[in-house]
Amino acid sequence: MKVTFYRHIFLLLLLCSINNISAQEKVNKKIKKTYPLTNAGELHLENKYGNITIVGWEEKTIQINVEIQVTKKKKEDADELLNRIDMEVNNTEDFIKISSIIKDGNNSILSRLFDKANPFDFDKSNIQIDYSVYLPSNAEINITNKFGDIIISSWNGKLKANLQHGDMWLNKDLNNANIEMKFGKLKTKSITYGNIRFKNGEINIEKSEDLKISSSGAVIEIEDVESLEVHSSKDQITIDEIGNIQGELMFSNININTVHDSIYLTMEVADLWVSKIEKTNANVTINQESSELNINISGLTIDFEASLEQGLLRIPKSFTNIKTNVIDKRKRIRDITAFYGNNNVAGKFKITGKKGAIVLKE
Amino acid sequence: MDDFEKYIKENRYLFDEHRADKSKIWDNIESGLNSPKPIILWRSPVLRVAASILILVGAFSIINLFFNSTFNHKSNNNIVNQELRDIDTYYKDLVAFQVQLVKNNSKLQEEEKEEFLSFMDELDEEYNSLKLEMTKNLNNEYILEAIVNNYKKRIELIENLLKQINDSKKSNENEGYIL
Repeated sequence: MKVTFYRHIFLLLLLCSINNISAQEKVNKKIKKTYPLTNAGELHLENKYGNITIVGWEEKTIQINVEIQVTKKKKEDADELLNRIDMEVNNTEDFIKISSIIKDGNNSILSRLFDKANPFDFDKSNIQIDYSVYLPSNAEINITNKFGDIIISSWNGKLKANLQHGDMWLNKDLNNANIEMKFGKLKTKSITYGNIRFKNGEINIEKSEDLKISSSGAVIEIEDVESLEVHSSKDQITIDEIGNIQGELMFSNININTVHDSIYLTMEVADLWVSKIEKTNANVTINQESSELNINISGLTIDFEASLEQGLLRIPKSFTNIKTNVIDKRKRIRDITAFYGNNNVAGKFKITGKKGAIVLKE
Repeated sequence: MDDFEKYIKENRYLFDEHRADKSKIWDNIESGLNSPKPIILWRSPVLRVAASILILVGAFSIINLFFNSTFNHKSNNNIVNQELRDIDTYYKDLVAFQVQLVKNNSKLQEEEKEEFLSFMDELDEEYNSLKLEMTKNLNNEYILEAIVNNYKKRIELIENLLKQINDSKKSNENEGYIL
């Protein structure tokens, strides 16, 4: 009798406990809005915690679809948070600004005190704010997103984007792109004129005419670029085809398959590997410190000039007219001149710097 | 009113010499009453079970209320904090080890080491902003993932540098002049 009594009590407690171990509650809402916008128009969009998909179309309107989803332990809390999330739209003629707004909740003194006492006050919530935007295919876009991806397709207007902790896919050739990214992957087709500021992530560009990259901690792959200005730190760069390259490399590693025209670089503790230089009288100017250069000079005709302190310079035996002028024997400071090639018009090949290893090979 | 009555009224306080013993009076009253028998409810088994359940449910409701208002926050907080602590514990030592490898490397000059390791300050700043974002409690899965990526990036960049400077390309495959 006593055992049965306690068994019942235990079962009752267990039943009550189920209330506490209940599953996460998911609530959502959808917003759909349409405004007039032409190809000369501009969209500004700011979001957080969600993906943005942009699709170009032939209409003279912009259609914004937002899906907001909130997951929380209790339904009333989920509803309360969902009600605090909204989309704010400001629009004038041919200009529209959309922002995701998350209003502050629990403003009572008690809750504020509680928040202060517990800086990590959690009932593990998950919010997801996803945008699908349809707009004229040449309208300008200025997007800011954090903790979410950006996907752009069938659109080729002017792009300005700031993305953190998310990936970006540009599925159509763009004429003009100004992209700032942190922690994410950027994958694009062609960007005719691009300015990319990038930290800690991956860049993959198929084609560009004129590209400026300021990056740090990135893995960069470019298939074909006509002109590249690079300010690189701690990057791993691979380029298949490049017209000319100029800029600075610090602690970076760059591997180029074919250079068509010229190289102007300043390097510090960096590696440069060039498999082929296409133009027979190409101009190459490199100022380096503690760096390693490995350049294939086959087919070139060059006036070679080097001004080095310490370090190592290795040139093929086919170099002619080699002259070495030792300026400081103890510090191993020396000027070297030489000639290489068979053509009448020679390019300038100048390397200066300190330490490092410079290997020119055929 | 005659003079005697008037005199008594005016000097009434002089008669308050003796007071009644209240306890004695009550004792006498109580002894004259029939004392009722106490009703013992607990003898009824149905009422006993019902009361037990009532107490348990009541106690549980109070505990539940307490849990929901405070402990749940704390326990969830603890879960996320614990995850963050685990991440910190796991990666901090790994990063510290890699940083030490850079500091001990003889191929780099002190200024170069300092310059290279400056990226750690930037990533520290990013880490702090992520922790701050975490307090908003909007989607901490994203934040924890970003914190892990922050640590992984530190390790990756140091590994890349060490590979670059240790993996020298001064090969002998190209016979030529060394100047």
